[in-house]
Amino acid sequence: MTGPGARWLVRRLGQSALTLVCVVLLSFVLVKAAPGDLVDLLASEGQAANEDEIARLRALFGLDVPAWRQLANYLFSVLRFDLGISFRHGRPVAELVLERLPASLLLMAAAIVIASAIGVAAGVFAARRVRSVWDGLVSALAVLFFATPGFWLSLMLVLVFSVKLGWTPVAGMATIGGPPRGAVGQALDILRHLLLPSVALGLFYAAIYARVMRASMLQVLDLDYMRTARAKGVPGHRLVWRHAFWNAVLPIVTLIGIQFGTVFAGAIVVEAIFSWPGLGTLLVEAVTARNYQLVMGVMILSAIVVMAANLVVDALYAVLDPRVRPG
Amino acid sequence: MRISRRDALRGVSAVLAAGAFVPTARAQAQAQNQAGAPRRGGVLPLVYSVETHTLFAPGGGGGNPLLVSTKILERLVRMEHDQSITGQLAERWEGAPDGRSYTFHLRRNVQWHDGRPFTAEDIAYNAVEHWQKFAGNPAIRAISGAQALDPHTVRISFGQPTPEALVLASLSGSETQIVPKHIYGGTDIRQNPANNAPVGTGPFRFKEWRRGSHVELERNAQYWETGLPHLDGIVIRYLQDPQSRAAAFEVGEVLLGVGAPFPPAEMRRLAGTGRFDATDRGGLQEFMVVEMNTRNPILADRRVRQAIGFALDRQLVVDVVMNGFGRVATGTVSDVYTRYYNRDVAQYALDVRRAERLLDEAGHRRPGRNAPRFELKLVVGPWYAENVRMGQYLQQALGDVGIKVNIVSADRAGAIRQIYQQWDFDLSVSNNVSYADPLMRSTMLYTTANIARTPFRNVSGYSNAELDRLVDDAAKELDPAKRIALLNRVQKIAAEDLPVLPIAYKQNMTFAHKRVRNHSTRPEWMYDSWKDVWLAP
Repeated sequence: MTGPGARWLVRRLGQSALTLVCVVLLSFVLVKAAPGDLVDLLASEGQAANEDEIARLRALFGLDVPAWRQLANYLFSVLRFDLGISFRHGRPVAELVLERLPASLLLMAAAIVIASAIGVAAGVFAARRVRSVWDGLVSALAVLFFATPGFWLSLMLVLVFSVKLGWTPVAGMATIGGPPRGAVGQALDILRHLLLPSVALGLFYAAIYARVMRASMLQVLDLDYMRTARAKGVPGHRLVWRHAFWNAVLPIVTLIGIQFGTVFAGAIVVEAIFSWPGLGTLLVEAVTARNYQLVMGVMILSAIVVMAANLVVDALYAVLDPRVRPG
Repeated sequence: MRISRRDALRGVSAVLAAGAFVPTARAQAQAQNQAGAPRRGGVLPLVYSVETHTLFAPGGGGGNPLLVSTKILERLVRMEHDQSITGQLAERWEGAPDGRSYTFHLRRNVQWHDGRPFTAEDIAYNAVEHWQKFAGNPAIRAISGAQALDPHTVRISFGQPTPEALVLASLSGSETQIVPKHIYGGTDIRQNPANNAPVGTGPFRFKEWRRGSHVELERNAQYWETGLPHLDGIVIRYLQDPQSRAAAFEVGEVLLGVGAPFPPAEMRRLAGTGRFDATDRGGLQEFMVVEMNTRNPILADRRVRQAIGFALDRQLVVDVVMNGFGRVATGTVSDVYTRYYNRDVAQYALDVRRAERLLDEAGHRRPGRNAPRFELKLVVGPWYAENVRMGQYLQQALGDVGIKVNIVSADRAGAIRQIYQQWDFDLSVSNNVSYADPLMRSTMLYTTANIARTPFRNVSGYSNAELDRLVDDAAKELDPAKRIALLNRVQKIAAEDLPVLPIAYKQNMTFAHKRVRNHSTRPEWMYDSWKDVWLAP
């Protein structure tokens, strides 16, 4: 395969590889810059009874050599597609990370779907009634959700919908002990658990998208071709949805691509509150335990996910707007 | 139930804490929790904070794996609420007259969860390859050999005479769980895959571990004690957020929480609803401590350490810093362990003038009206929010007697490194635990042999030949009364010399829905097998 598309892809993959190396270096430096190591923590849990045992564990974990050699050893094993072993868990890092990935992706995807659906709809709604009470209400709500901390919103949602109303479960991803039988039952069960965390995570981005969509829509509605369409007698809703919408939505697509990484970061807080079994909780545990192999494993995998998402968004851009050509 | 002075005292502090608790209500709650005929069936949903990293770690591995492994794996003996010892996998035992070996007669017809028979070989393997190598407890470290005399009899030998009370308390503790030889033999115990799917002899079998969510245990139908366990299973749910844990309690998604599952305000609110039992019976005897680094010449002077003791209002610490969920400590042996606890030691009630006088006598006069006598570096172990508050209180209270305290902030791993590996501190705020026998932990904060770069040992660098000799003697004194006298003397010296300042015991509250019965029945109940716990309809 040749042509501009292929060249674009090759160049993007090259950039991604470089980014990945930077991610590895940076996360290694950050973890190592924090005082203490995994063996300190194990010893504090009574898993190393004396100084000899502590020294033996450091040697076993490869922590007895200088940091630059630890990094070299690590990079060497990553090049062989080996993310190493988490001694704390007694399991390969790849296994630990991959089993958490689906839950994380599901939460992020649901949050982004909710954010873009609410954000775009609210933006269009406000733009069509610009400077009305409704426009003001949308803006006010957007500011409110933009300013609300994720953990507070999460707790309030739990308090209202789980504790007071009893509509949704408090935490977790599936009913424990007796999940409903059948694929449909299980899917519905997961959806019930997914609702609050994805709303809690999504509303912040919905607020951003609503503001951006409103501005973008207003700008497009003011363009010459819109005036032409209106002059030709295109009816209002068709004008908005068919002529204006697809042009106005492009900035949202860009934002989703850029913000995929920050959604991941935001998910850490939401995952902790809803005990969602995703990568976020694993990452926090790994950092506090100074389990650097596991930290790097999570960082590498999430970097790959974010870069893949960006690649898809860029490709999507070309589909949405034929004027945009890769290259 | 007889209400002891200690219960009454703790009842008073509970009243301060919860408003709703009174001693008689406590006793009634305990009676109700243990009343009635046990009922078979039901799965008990338990909530815990941080998910465990492994389901079993040799030597225990801290509270997180222990909470799970103690339901699956058993020990030779079990401690009752009156601190007597009853047999578990050992039916009976006898010690040699010289105290250098103990023979255990094992229960017959016990099976591992995989169907293999449990034999004396398993104990011989555990004693030498597991307990002796991984325990911190010096009595267990002193095991010199173990021999299966027949399939149901095993003799464990010790390098020196070892008192029976110490042996049995140690074997009932958390470092001596029994793992199957046919799975662990010849492997690195630490990295054995069975650590994540344990096979034991206990009342519950491992069923499933959904990472990031919960661990599920099911009833062991082949359990050796007929009719037990009462429960069909236990589900341990990990909910990181304290508010979520409280919410899960309120909607009934979980029925039991151990190790103070919520912040004090939530504890008080939930206790007020009357739907739950809240008790600190069965909690770990964990205490807050201020360690003083005697390598600093200023703190090498006993008068300065005593002055710090007199400068603090520890009742205020309990009431404010710990929100009432604690009781002032007089030493590192908990008053719960009545056999060894010595109340007759030097006391440090708040006495600012005495503190100032001691500091003056030590040669640290105030150089000017508002100038500090000297400065100290305080490193706080931040694993509990109250420790951080304690650090702030310490800074303020010592400031009042002219000691300037500079607080260093670090996270868990950072603080452990700085205090226990680098000894780079003058004062610490940390925690430790008192177990059934003082030698299992309490004395390790003082003896010279425990000056090591190992967490939660003698980090103050304190060394006293008389105390060392008393502790050594207590490790091999076979006469129980003489042994108690030795340990009383140790506590007296420790309180006078004060290398570490015990602040207060934490009330490690257990929260249980009233449907949960027969809970909190013994010391360290959270690490019991829970075979006799049952659920009322």
